[in-house]
Amino acid sequence: MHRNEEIAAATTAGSQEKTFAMAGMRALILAEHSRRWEDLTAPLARFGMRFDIFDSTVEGLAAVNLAGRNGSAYKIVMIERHLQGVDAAVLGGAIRSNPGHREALLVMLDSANGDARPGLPGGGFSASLRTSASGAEFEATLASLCMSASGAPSPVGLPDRRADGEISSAHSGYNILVADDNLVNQQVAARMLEKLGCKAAVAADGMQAVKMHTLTPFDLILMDCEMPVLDGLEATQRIRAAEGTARRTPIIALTACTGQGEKERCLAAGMDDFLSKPIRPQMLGDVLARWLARPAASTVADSACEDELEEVKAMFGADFAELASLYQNDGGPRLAAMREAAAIGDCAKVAKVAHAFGGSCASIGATGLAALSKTVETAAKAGSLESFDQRMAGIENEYRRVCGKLQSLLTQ
Amino acid sequence: MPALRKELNILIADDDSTTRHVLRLLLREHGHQVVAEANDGDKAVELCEVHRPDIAFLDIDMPRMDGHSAAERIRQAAPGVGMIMVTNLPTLDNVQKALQIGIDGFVVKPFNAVKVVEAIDNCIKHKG
Repeated sequence: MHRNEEIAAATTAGSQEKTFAMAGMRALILAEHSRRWEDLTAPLARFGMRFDIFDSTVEGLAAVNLAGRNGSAYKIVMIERHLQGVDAAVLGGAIRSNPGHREALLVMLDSANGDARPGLPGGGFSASLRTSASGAEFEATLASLCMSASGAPSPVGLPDRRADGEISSAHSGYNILVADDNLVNQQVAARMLEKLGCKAAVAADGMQAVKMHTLTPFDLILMDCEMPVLDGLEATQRIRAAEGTARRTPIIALTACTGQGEKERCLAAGMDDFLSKPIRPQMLGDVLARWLARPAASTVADSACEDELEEVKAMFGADFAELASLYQNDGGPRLAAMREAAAIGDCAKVAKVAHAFGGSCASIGATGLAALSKTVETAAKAGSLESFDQRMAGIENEYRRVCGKLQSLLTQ
Repeated sequence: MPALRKELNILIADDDSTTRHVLRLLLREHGHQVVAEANDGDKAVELCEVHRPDIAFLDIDMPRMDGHSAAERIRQAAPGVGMIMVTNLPTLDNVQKALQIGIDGFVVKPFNAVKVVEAIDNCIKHKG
């Protein structure tokens, strides 16, 4: 089942500026037909976007292929968390692998209600929308996404390209929680953090923030002071009480008024610093620099690598040590074998070993390293050893970093 | 009422031993039995015929016979075996091809326990 709509630029929507940036943009929706399709398509239509909607994974991917070939790629792709039994992350990854769709913005459509799955869904997704989301929430998410997609300045101004390239390596890989009940503020802060190289998750109230942080501790929390259910001050107190002396996560107050009284209340509650709203990229960058230790890897060129080693460790607990040693036993010899094969021009062997190495990396959670290895594998498969040495040096660097991190994870 | 989770017999086909190990641990932890392991597609088809597992996890990129061809052969040789594709990097071609063959699920490395369990549950639901 499929519907296709072409709509002329909207002339009636509230903010002319927003609609201007979004009019004519193409969107793809992959959603169960049990959903009310109108709820998904109406906001797009209001913004003057053109969309295709499918309830079949095969048809949807065929549309992506076609759009990629015709140079009419989709800017925004909304995907059901599970469509015909296929996880959204798989479909999203597949779509992003199409050369025309590398920059496509992914939005997850989540039918789960309540706070079962808070935060950004990860896996390349920029936002998630619940079935229960109101029309206004939907539009705020869309607007914030589209502004970053079109390069139009957002109300608070995102860092320019040069600046963001400069800062991004400094904070790469940090997990930051944004706790703010205002959806637009939340999305803007999250996007800004991502531009700075961090992974951002969001919470809509203090209670959710406490729960999320208890589940998987963040490296830093941006905490709005006034929130429903549990305000930022009380949420901070609970987090501090739970941490005891074992850990102190930097908590930065997001506050509109920065009077001395307000500051003192924040400090008394256990917060560490302040950011006044609206947040500016430069100030956010400064705060991150002040409170986050620079990762050792950021000094090595080309090492904006990410990994999910902690997640894999959490999953396997005591068995992780065995996995890590299995991984490291094979790793060194495989890298050596790749170099040897390349030295005698044996592309097939290079591809084969790179493939095996990449598979292990992905399994243990060294995702960045797996991707690096894939570049060598792909080139070698095509019979090319061009820039092999350079790529290999990057791989060896990252492998050392991964092994070092495994070591420290195991001694924790 | 929560359904009673049944112990399933599972085959793992992947050419990387770390990956097989990770998946084996994960499946055992969730009460399933790994009845056979294969390190290429050829072997996977053969072992599926012999063991008739409930589910086969098939890596897409395997030597000798890739996961797609293996899935097609298993469909013929051992109908009723549920198939879940495994990949590090889902590409459009990969996923499209697998969906056209009619596989029952897809998981991406590194494995996420929740997603693996979801894929298994969904696969069993499919088979009825």
